Amino acid sequence: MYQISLINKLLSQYKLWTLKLHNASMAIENNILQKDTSDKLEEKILSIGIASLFVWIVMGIIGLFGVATGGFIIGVILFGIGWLLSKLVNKIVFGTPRKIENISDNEKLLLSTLKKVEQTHISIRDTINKGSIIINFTNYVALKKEFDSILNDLDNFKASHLALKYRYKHKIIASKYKIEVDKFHKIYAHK
Amino acid sequence: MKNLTQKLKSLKNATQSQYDEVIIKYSKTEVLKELKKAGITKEELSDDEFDELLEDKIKQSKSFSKGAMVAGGALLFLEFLG
Repeated sequence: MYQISLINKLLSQYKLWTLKLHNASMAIENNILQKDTSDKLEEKILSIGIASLFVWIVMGIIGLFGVATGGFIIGVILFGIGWLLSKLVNKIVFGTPRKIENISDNEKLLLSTLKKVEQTHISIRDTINKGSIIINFTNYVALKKEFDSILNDLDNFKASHLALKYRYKHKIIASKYKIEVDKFHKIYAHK
Repeated sequence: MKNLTQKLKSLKNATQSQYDEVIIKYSKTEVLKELKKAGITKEELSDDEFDELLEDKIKQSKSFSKGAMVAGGALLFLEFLG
């Protein structure tokens, strides 16, 4: 009786885990493709800040030479230059979305492996839901190997070409993926 | 996600809390849909487990929808600047 209730509990946890695996995979994909737009407001405020700072600094430097400053047209021109400069800074810090066809072959391979592994577990989940209990929690060694390979790829992933925001987020997101892999071992192999 | 983006874009002069309300409602529906697809009922989950899934979904939705909120008007004055 205890064994049956334990299996049922693990099966339920496994099905729930597949959703968490999906979220963790998607976070990696979105980070590589630089899809996050949640800092849109911060981006624009930074742009205004940089442009204003640029006006102040250049006006200040011109003022040091005793030239009259404060003209409206000069101010607008300087603000425009500062605004363009800020666009460059924004691109370095926040980046722009990357199209899948423009990413490197290694990145494409990593994303397709993540999708493949996710699909494998969705298939197992579907089989569980169909009631084919006999195949539950089998093939652990092969599934573990797939996760070991992905974790290795994530560890070795060079994020230096990504915008700063995504570069620093990569490690956090990869560690979240690892947490899900650890959960997989606990559920699937009951470790 | 397209539905949410369209909905947010259609909201004119909405407040931040109104945008949040739409995002939370959308995220809840999506989580319930995903649970159903996975063969799990909400009753099988603890409140913490459900909240964790919901939190992830809200984060994902917000990550994609801020741009739509800008277009929708919440941050329109900034959008004019580029």
